[in-house]
Amino acid sequence: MDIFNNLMMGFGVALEPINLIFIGLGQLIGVSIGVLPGINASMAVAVLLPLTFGLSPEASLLFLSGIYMGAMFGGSITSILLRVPGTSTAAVVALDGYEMTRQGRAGLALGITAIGSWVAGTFSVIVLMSLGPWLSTVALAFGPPEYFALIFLGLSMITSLGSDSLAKGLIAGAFGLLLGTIGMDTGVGVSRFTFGILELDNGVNFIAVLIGMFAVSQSLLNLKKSLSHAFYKGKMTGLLPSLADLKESAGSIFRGTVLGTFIGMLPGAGATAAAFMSYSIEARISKHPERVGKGEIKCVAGPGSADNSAAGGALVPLLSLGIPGSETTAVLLGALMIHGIRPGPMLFSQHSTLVWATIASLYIANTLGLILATAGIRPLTQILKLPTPVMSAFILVMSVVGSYALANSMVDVWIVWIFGVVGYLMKTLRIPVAPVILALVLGPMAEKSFRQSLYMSDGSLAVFATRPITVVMLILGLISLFLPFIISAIKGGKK
Amino acid sequence: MKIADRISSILLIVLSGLWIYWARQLPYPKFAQVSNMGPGDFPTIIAVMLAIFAVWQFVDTFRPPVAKTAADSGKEAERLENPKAGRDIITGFGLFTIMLAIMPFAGFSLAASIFVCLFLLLIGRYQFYWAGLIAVAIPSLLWFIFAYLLTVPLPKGPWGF
Repeated sequence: MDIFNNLMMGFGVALEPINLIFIGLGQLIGVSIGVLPGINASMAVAVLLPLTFGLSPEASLLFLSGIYMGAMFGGSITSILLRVPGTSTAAVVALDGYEMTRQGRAGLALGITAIGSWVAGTFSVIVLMSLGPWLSTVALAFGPPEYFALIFLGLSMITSLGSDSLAKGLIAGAFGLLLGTIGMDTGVGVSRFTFGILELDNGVNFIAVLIGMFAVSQSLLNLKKSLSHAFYKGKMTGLLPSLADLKESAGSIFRGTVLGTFIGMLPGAGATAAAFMSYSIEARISKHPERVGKGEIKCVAGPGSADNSAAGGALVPLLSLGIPGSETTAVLLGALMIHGIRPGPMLFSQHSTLVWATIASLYIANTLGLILATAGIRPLTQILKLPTPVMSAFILVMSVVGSYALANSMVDVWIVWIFGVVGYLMKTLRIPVAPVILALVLGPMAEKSFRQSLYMSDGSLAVFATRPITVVMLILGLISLFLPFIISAIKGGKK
Repeated sequence: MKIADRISSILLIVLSGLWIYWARQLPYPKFAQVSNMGPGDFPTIIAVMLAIFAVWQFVDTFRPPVAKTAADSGKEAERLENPKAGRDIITGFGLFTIMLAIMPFAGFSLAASIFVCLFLLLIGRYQFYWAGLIAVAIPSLLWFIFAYLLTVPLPKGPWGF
């Protein structure tokens, strides 16, 4: 009953005209940005974050959440029509989605993805509102050792799951942690690694790092690609799937939805992994394996749903524990912090209006997304006609303005420049950039909890071995860290 | 890629070494001894970890490469490579750097207009009038949103904008 009352309160706030406008605007921007290849949700949310400085915390979060959810569906549109994935999460949808387009079934592919996304988004929000308050209540009993173990678990999953090479994932994570040590040491009040730059006393602004690593480096990388796209010129009919199509896809949507939600909750795994896993499951259990890769509707419906539900699932650890599981939720964390709100277990009780308004807005955003996706596909694909150089120039200038607006300082702008170079090099070397951002956010929290734990135990590390929850989470963290080795050892043993 | 990986591993090991050196220079107040953790200890642990992972990557470069999976092919978009990519990226980054360098003196509007104009002329190969038009439009739009609507005081030149 509490959940229902809270949800109604949330709807009360989200349906206020001004908030509704921001949700709709966020969805429209999100879907439009999702359509554009090379611009992902985290980049869009980071670059547009400064636009929310003058807004209320509610309007700000509703706007950014709208962009986040909208970008997830937008990516599928160009994947299906042009085989140009707007986002990495939608890459796998291109495999069968584009084949459906070639067979003249583009409308059906888009329609089933829109419906699947709506179902998945709604389900993940239901999980969020059911699990979130419970998790935050559990987390209230956590002391510094448990918090350290939880962050360790999150970081180990981020670094081990987010990359093709474990060494590179770990390097990215450690590099992010290293950056997190820059700034005033809160324990003893000593400036560390600031080299006399006063602006660095508060640490490296992770939004500036994120803008540099995602927006600047990606804008430059986009110049590597061809400057024009082949546009889909066929007829777009049958956006609403028939009953038979829905019946055929229902199982895939359900599997993708459940899988995506729970993978989304795991730090680091993210929507891309969920979509690829869903595709792999659908391909494996298909009764018509000859159709896989040649326009199998189930292989579009499953992954198309999984990526959307993963986006909702990723909000569970953010809102209940204050731990972002993906780079986009890290930016949302930054948005909350800019408005003086500290995400964590207390968020549900101290800022219940904000949390429940966000949850309610996700329902609204999902439904708006469905309408936008079915009614506005034709005009949305026209966005692709925007020339890459103009988009790149716009994003680069916007990155400068956005980072300057963080603290009205050129230091943040130069941080963007530095991390633009670092991000470009990392992407060229295939070192994942997401763990850097997440480790930069989680690093100071980890250090604080670690040192508080040692204060509690007079400097003894035994504090981490005597508390059951801490021990379980540390063991899980170690397992996830060494999972790739364990799997390869098992595979080697079988051979 | 292997040589690049080796170079990056060596650079990361050097960075770790520097970090450890700087961390060891930090003061160690008496009250920090209660937790056995001074301000330089956590950074030292992280830097040691980074060095270990960098050595691991270095060793990995001597192993045979893993074959591409079917899923990898799905990740790769069907887009043509721009034949002038290297030149465009260097030009783009150079122009971006110049914009940042002149912005505190020339102001946001002028620096951004020059950047957009040159970017479109040199990389987009636009006609001058189109480049000029877009170079005025983008900074003006952003100025209107940030400086006027959001009252963010963007860097101004001697002429006040």
